Amino acid sequence: MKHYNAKKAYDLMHRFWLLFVVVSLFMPAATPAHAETPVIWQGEIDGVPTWITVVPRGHEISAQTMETEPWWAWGNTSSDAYIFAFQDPGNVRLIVSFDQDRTGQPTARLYAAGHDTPPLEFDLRNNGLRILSNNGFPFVTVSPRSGGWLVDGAANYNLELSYDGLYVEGFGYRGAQTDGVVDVKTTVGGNVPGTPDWEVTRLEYDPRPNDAYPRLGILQRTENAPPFEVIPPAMPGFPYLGISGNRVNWFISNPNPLLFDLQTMNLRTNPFPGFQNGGMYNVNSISFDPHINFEAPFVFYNFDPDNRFAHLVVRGVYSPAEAALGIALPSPRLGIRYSWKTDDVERWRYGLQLSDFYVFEDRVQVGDTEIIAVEAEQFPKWVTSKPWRATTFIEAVSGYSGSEGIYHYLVDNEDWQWIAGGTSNSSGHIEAPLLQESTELTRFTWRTLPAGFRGEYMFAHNKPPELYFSPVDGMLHLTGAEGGIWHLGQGVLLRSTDLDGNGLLDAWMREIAPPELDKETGLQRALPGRVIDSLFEISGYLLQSSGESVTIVQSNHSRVEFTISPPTDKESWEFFRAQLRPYENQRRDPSDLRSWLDAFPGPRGEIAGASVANVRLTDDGFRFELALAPGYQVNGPDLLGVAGLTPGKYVVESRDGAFMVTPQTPAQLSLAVRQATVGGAPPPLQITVANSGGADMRDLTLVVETQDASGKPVELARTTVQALAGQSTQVRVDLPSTLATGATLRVRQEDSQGQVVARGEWAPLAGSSTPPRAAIASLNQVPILAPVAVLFAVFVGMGAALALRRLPGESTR
Amino acid sequence: MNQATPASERTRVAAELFVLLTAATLVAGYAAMRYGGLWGEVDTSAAATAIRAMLQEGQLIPRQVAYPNGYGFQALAVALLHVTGLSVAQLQIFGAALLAVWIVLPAWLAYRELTGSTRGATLATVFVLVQPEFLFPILRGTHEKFTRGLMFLALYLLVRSILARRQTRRFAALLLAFYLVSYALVTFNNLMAFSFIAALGLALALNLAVQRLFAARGAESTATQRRLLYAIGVSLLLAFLFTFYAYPPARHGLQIVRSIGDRLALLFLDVEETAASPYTIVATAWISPWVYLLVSIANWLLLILSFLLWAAQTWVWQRSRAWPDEPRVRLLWSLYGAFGFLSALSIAVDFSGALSSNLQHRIFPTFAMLAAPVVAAWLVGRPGTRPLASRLARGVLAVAIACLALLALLKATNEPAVSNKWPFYVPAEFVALRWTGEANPNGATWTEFDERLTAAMVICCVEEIDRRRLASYQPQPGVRAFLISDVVRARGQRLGQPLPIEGDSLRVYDNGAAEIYRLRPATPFQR
Repeated sequence: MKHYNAKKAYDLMHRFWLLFVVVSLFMPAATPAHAETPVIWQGEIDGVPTWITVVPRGHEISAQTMETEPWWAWGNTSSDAYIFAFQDPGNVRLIVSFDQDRTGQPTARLYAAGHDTPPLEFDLRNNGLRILSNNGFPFVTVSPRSGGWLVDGAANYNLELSYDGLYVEGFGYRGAQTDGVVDVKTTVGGNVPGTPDWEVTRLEYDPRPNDAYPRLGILQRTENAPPFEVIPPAMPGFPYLGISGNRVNWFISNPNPLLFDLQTMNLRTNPFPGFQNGGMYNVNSISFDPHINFEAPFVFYNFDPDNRFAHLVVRGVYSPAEAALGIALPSPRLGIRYSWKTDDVERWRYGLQLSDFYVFEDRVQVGDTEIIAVEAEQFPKWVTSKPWRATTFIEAVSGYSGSEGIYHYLVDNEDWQWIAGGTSNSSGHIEAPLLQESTELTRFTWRTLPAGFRGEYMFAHNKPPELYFSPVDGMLHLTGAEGGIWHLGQGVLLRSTDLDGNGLLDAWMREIAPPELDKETGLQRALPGRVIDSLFEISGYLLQSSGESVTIVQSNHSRVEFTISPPTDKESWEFFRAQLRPYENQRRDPSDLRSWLDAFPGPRGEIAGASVANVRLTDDGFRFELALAPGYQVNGPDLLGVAGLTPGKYVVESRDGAFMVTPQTPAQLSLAVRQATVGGAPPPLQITVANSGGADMRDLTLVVETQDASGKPVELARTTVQALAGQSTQVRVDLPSTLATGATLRVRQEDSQGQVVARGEWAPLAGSSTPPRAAIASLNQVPILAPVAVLFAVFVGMGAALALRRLPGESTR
Repeated sequence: MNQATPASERTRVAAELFVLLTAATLVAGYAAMRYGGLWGEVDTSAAATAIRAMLQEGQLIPRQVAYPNGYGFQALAVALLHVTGLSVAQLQIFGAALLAVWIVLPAWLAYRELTGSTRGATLATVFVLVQPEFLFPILRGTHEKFTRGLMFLALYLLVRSILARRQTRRFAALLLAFYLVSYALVTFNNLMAFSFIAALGLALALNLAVQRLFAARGAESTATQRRLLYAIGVSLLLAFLFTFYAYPPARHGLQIVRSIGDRLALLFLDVEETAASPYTIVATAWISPWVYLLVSIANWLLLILSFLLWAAQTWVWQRSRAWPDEPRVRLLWSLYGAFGFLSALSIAVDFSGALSSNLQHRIFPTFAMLAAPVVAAWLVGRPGTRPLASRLARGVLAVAIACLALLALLKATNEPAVSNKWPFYVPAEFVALRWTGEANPNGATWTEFDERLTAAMVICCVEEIDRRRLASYQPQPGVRAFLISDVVRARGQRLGQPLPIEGDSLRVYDNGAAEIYRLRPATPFQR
């Protein structure tokens, strides 16, 4: 570290800035000030060569001060200015100029060069510092709302900051310039010196009021937030400014609110209270208060003050009717992403996504700003106590890092109309998500299920979220889930379903997903694939089939080990962790479903050389199709009573606890077609598909077609049908309105191989009803009003005749 | 020349005015009674909403909803409601057309000044009364009958004040009246007022150009120009103060338009911000393009004939270097040129896709107001022109104009026999909608292929049914209840559009002429 005298310093500056000085002679003074003799400190900050020119105003800097004091003590933070150059004495990136009013209230003006803009231009001649860049307008002006920079030796966090220029990418108008017009204002407040409790950032200049960029940002420390910590400032007398080349880690300490980043050579603005560390209540709204929207609120809860991590995050994406997001979507609507950690406080383990049309009604005060939302302390219970129309549950089995919770496997915009009842078909991305090997974030993230993640969904029950622990797979599940998928990697899935509809998953199928890739994303989808192993928990039995053998265990175990609610506070979080801890080492192997049966000590029989298909419930038990291969062998108790049967296909039915095994007859399909009497134009077809045989036929394709004028077949509709043994199914097929009355329709059913298994025909097609003649009812008034119309014409004609008539003596020229 | 005595002249004028007022009353009565009071229209319903808001809150800028272009019509309507004891629906449904009769008087006065003769005034008034595009807006429940009347009045006062500039007291009174009328015009619709002022400015520019290039500087034309300059300056100031200071909703209306070019177009061309091409309506709004041409024939005849006359007159004056110095002649010529230019510009703006929807309802009526006296002046015989000499020709012309009146009536009232835009409804439809309002209070009900029923409901029965629960046009995905009436079926057939319900929809209500269908639930969320 070495010091320069003023003359030397000046010569140095001139060597590089002669051009700017010449220019400055023709520019008006932007920041007039009295200057004594500037001095320069040179050294390194975080390994970056740094030149700091201290411009004293109204006092001299003595040589002794320069020898004994650090650079920031050479001047003051009430009237002096500091010019910061990095890497090169001419590369001036930051200037901080202090001023104070008559009452002693200080103001700091920070002039900054962006990382992709030339160094700041200024003029130090003629006893003053003049900033030339941006016409002398500062990027940010800081002033205390009361007092000085320090109160009782601690930072005063009652501040107002005015930003002129791009505040943060994404907040407000992207093209904001430092032009003398304040673009953004931030108000900071704290109850005690040294701790900023809240911050409200508001867009002031809004040139595009219809654009969807954030306009209101709120950050507030929650009641149980960990103690406030911030990196020591570069200038203790101005405790908000930092200069650092180190990586920011909010989970260790807050960075300085005004941070000159030596890596990007840019002045960064950081929130005062904190960011996504634990103990933060955040609002990121596109609309102004009080009707906030978008991320409203986004709360980061910390339940262990020994670290600064969030252990639970609750993110509301809110679209109130008063400030609707996306006009094509229903409003009000509220989506909640609820993620929490367990023992690994750095990795998210579980998540819920909840969607419904709730409205916030509470008024929340942050500083002088009032918003309509829910208080941080009430928010988790507010969420978990409500029934939700659509709920998904996700577990990152090996954890998931990040600050905002788990992003994957979410109900999103595409499905809101479906949840609202507006459309009959969902996007299908919950039932069959995209399979992604990594946790990389893309624009498709919400539709993906990464390897090692498992997700479940509940759309039919409309109940508050509750979890239960299944003794079969040793995992937590969403009570009421209709199904779930565990992505085991490389396109292998463990699909689970609730066969009996009692809200508990009871069937697990290890599948290989179809290899076809989604056209838009290039990813595999978890569509139904080839089953390679399956396990059913059904009517007091556990039935497992791997294709080579069938194992059945009689067990009277409880379907639910325990139920538990998602954690909402420190107590419930610790309880949740304690409840799950004993089971962490007893996880089942998802690649070996047979091994799951080892945990159940009941009678266990095994049939080697057998396989099971089409397991389903019946009115008084369940049934499945059993294939016995030649040489099959029964080991252990013969629970099904199949010993001695001829190899072949059988139907096994369980009725009131007893098994009945009968030879399986082939499926016998028939079609019955008729046309509805009311409805659109033309009315739809109602097709009855019946299967009078003994074998289920699943995933049949029903095709409806007609012929064009040349006799060429024209396909009208195609839909998938399940034809279960002994049952019939009704299918409605809407017909296009362009279809000619009297057209002959042909209906056929194809199996998964494309073979036609049933046919039907319907002709002629009925047309739409003819509208009644009296439809244009008011036309009946014409006879009454006709004389009025004629009279009008007559009078108009009279008027014209009167005007056109030739008066006596009028010339005809 | 007319050599009649003053007494007989007064009798003739009285007779002509009586005929005009009777004709206007008949057309207004026809429009009021055509659908037996069972009709609706989107601008009329918007005005009804604004009037109700002002009536309820008792202030010029109601918090609920304020018409963005001015408060004049709502204020006048509120006054009429208090005086007559009518309801808003009665005023809008019946009074809307009947109030249009008043326009005859200012039109006739303005035309008398512009044509220089009472017969010219009568004929020009007849011409505007057979213009369907002029009749349609003034017969609706909107400000236009007053806005256009005030324009006529302003033109009358402007010409009179120019002519009376040497009579100080008379001049001062006319001047004061002109500015009062100008301000009233601004309060009824600031955009139309801006457009009117822009036309005056353009007329001044035309006069100046002619004088500088072709004509000798005469005392009359100089006075005309000076008078126009003052009129434009002060009127523009009034409109500016109103738009940017006195009436904040007007400023908001401008703010929603992003570019400066669009804002200027909005201000001076009186165009509206819409998304669709305004000219596609020709292909869809009538049962055939030929029918459209037939019912619009009066518009086209006036447009073509007036332009030919104006162009010929300009050519003759230029060729003979005999540009008239008479203020009213120069004023009519320049005003026609100015309004014609703005109309052409508006069409160009429409086709540019920036802003649209004006030829039919906005600019053409204004243009027709100035085209009518150009043709009328020629027909009744102005100095330098040849009047219609033959009695037979005059008779044929009178009969032809009467026929045009009938065609105009069909178009101005959207006669359902030829128009695809049906403004009427049947009581059974309202009965069904009232039922769905009670039975389906939280869901929307689709009503029609356009705003036919929603507009009518807002005018007549807004207290009974939540407007937000009525859907129209292409049904949104969330709409699951549908009104299918005999009229809706007939309309669908006329438009060639299928009914928007599925085949297995549930008929949950039927009153004989109107049914409510509900789509069958297909998911848990549709229960």
